[in-house]
Amino acid sequence: MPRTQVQTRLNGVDVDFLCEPRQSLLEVLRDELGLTGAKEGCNNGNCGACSVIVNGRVVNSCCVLGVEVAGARVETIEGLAHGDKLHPLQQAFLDEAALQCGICTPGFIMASRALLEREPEPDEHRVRYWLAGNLCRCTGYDKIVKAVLGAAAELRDAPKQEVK
Amino acid sequence: MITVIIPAVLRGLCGGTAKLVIAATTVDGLLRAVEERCPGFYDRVVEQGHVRPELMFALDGEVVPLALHDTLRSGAEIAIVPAMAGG
Amino acid sequence: MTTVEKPAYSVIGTRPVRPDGVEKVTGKAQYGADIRLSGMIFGRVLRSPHAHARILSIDTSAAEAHPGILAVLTYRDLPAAEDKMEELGESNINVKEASDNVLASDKVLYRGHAIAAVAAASPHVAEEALAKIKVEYEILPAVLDVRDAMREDAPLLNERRFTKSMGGVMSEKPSNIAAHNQFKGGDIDAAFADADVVIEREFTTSMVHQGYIEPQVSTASWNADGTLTIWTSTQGAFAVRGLVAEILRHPVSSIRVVPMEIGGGFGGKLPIYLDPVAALLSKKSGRPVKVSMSRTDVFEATGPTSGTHIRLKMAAKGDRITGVQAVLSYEAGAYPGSAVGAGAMCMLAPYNVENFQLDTYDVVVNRPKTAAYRAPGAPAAAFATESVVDEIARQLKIDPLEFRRKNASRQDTRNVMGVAFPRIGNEETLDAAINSPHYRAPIEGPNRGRGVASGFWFNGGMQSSVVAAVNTDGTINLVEGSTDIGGTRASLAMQLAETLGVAYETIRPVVVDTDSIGHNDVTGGSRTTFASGMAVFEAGMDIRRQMITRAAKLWSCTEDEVVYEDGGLRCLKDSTKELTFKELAAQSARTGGPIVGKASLIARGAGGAFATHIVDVEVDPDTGKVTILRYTAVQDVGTAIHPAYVEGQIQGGVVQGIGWALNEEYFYDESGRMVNSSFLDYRMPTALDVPNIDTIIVEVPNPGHPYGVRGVGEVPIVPPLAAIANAVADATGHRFTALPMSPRKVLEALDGLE
Repeated sequence: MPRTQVQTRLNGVDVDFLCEPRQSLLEVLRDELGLTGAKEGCNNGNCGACSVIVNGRVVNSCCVLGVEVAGARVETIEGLAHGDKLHPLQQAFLDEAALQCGICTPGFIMASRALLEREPEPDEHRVRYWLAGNLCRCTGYDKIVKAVLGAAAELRDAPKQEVK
Repeated sequence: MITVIIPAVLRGLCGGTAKLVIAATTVDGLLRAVEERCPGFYDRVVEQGHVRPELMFALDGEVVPLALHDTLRSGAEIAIVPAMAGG
Repeated sequence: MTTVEKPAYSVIGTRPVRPDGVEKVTGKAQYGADIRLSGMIFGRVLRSPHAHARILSIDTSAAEAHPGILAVLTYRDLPAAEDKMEELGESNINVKEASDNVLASDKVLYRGHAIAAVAAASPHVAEEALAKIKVEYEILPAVLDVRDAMREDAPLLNERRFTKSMGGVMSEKPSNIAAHNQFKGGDIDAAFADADVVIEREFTTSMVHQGYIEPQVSTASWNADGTLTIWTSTQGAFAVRGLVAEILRHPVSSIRVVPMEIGGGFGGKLPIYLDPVAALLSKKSGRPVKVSMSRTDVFEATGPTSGTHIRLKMAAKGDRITGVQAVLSYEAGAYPGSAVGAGAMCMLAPYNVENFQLDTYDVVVNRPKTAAYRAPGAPAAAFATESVVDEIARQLKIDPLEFRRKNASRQDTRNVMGVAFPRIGNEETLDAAINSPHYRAPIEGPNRGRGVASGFWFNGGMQSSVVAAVNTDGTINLVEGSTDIGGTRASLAMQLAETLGVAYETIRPVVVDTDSIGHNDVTGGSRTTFASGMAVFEAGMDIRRQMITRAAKLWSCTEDEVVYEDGGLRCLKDSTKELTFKELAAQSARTGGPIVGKASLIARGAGGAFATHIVDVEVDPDTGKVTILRYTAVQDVGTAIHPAYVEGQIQGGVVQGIGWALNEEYFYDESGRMVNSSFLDYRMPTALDVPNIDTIIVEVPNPGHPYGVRGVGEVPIVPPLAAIANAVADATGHRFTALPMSPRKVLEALDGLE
């Protein structure tokens, strides 16, 4: 199957890649671009382990085709930290012990980032509602919710970080 | 002396007895001593020179796999139980 | 909350950040599917569409000719495939069955049973080739339900299987009942005859899946000299190595297994499915091959846990439980080996009951072979027991926790195996539950109810090996072989730090492959913090002894005059002579060479753990939805090494139990096809489905462990099924004896339509 060249802006940097039309964005990230932070849990949009942000919206990258992100802004877990400075969400997950096996963690962090970018002061129910598309089997969600609420508070107090 | 609880499905071999007190120092010694009182018992627990893979021993509050040559301390209470595995 | 005097620890009981944490929150951690090797290609597996069929022929010629296909496999590539079951001893039968489960030989026994595999440079091309493999089947009637499978006229999965009972053959005719066992004590007939209350109920639970988010995946590279490396998602690298060696009849020493970070296991990643396939595809193609499962494959072809049928009869006299009779029948799936025995051994553990008879049946059905799922066997058995205990308590008008307290097992109580409990924390756990803020708070409002339940799990010991190498800057490399699924790198580093009196941050724990450390049994059975922790303690003590020897030489004291404490050494007869751990480490080259502590052991003294849960629910009479309003899990953990990870294990187990109770089940159609094999319709709890899960940690230290550790990971899943059923009964007046209590079933029951 012939491959298409796609140009996109990934984690603030212009990149281009080749992919077959049938390859999902998840496959492209993992197999073509070597970014394995997004994970395959189900490949049909039901677990959120592949969550990334496209043009500011959280999406299941298994349900987006690689060719669809031409000209778009894509953010993955690999772009969240600045050098060795973790994003408050990442730090909150560590401090609150909000991960055990960690396979769902990149998806949760990206989904939470998308929430906090548009709603800086969600309450617990709003966080749970927003994250209902991300499955976790290890933690029972308790510490994840606490981490996201903690990070939200921290972000409200911190100077705004520019999203490219 | 070791107290051995006879598994319920094998008590018929022992005339219905549920518990025996046996002088033995190893698992094999124990099983052979039980065999003397309960003919047929040994082969139900041992196969091809090993304790059957589907069996374990309840000892001191744990369920553990034991080999025939393992020693038993005097005064121990032991039962033969289905193998248990965690998840 | 501590119930027994415990030492003042420096590191144990704190909450440091886990060593693997930064890599996991930045996406750098390498899980099984993340590995990339030069020249790597992809494998895919063809699976049976039929639940029960004889394989008449497999024609792979068109697949082999498909452009881009570099290897094709069937059972003929497996050494054990041609073995005849009749000629094999029991342990060899297990290998034959394991081999058949990897690639079916004469029969397929469940839909999803693997039949063939191919490898190509693109997974899409591999899938194209799978469609070209022609398999001729003779379809056979399938049996899916455990009770149907036990009937005389049931279709047989294996005409050469007879019912066994502890080494003896019990049935005259072949049967799907693979095994029968019994636990018996006292005189149940007398107990029932003399009782004030007798309650008899039948319970059913459905097959459910562990639901780990990461599907199985295995990558293998077979070299021309026969050395084989496997990178895999597993709970036990040494178990994989041993099983692959057996199934492929390949020397253990030629196989290196590298455990990748694991995305959940819960017992489901103890068996192997893909590793031999990846290995043989690599052997045939000469390339490294990565084989992964789709989510559908995971549901249909890994190891869910048994659906069950349990009949239970309980007698009480006064306020005491006087007799229990039960028959437990568990689905083993396609091959024998359900956890029905463990279910029977745990169900009465919370109680002091002298008269009992528990019969267990292990039954094969045309479903995937069941595997362990967190306290395997115990949750379903506790569902039955704790529901009936609840009913009896209500009939006697005694508070359900007080009733359990009056009947509680303790040290020296005999369990159903006939042996006495050592020091256990059942009563302390019940007391903590009775006195908890949750239990003291009233529950009010229509359609609301409260339920409680207790549970128990034995916890394992088994083999662990560790090496602790002291660096000259005073840091320590802790090399261990226990896959980390819950935070054990942290809990082991903490125990070593405590033993040596050094800071947690100076320890670098690493989980290594099978070439790099002595044998370690699997991470499962809640054994790792206990058993590998014991090895870590021994290794730490080994280091201390070596340091005492060196200090004695340096100071010209005898070893008896040197004491190690608080992370340093001093000479008793000369207080000017003292060194910190770091200072002595810096001098290792001049005092005898590298300082390395090691320990390899079979850990004995594992302590069982008890839990009591309290849950408040609200049932919506219009939709049948059961909302969890409040949940408190009380558990004896021995000593909480890392309280946040202990809490996390409890919370995770509780939420799995909530899913099991309210929504999860395998829906089969009559042909034996699971129709809800995706996360959309196999409905696991989301963040929106559960509230915060409150935990109360009780610590009754295990006398068998230097730091009092009891396993914690499994017992949390045991009480929720009954606790929620009891809460729903309290809310609606209707007692559910079948799980899950899904909205449809709740509505049907409330409307009187079942």
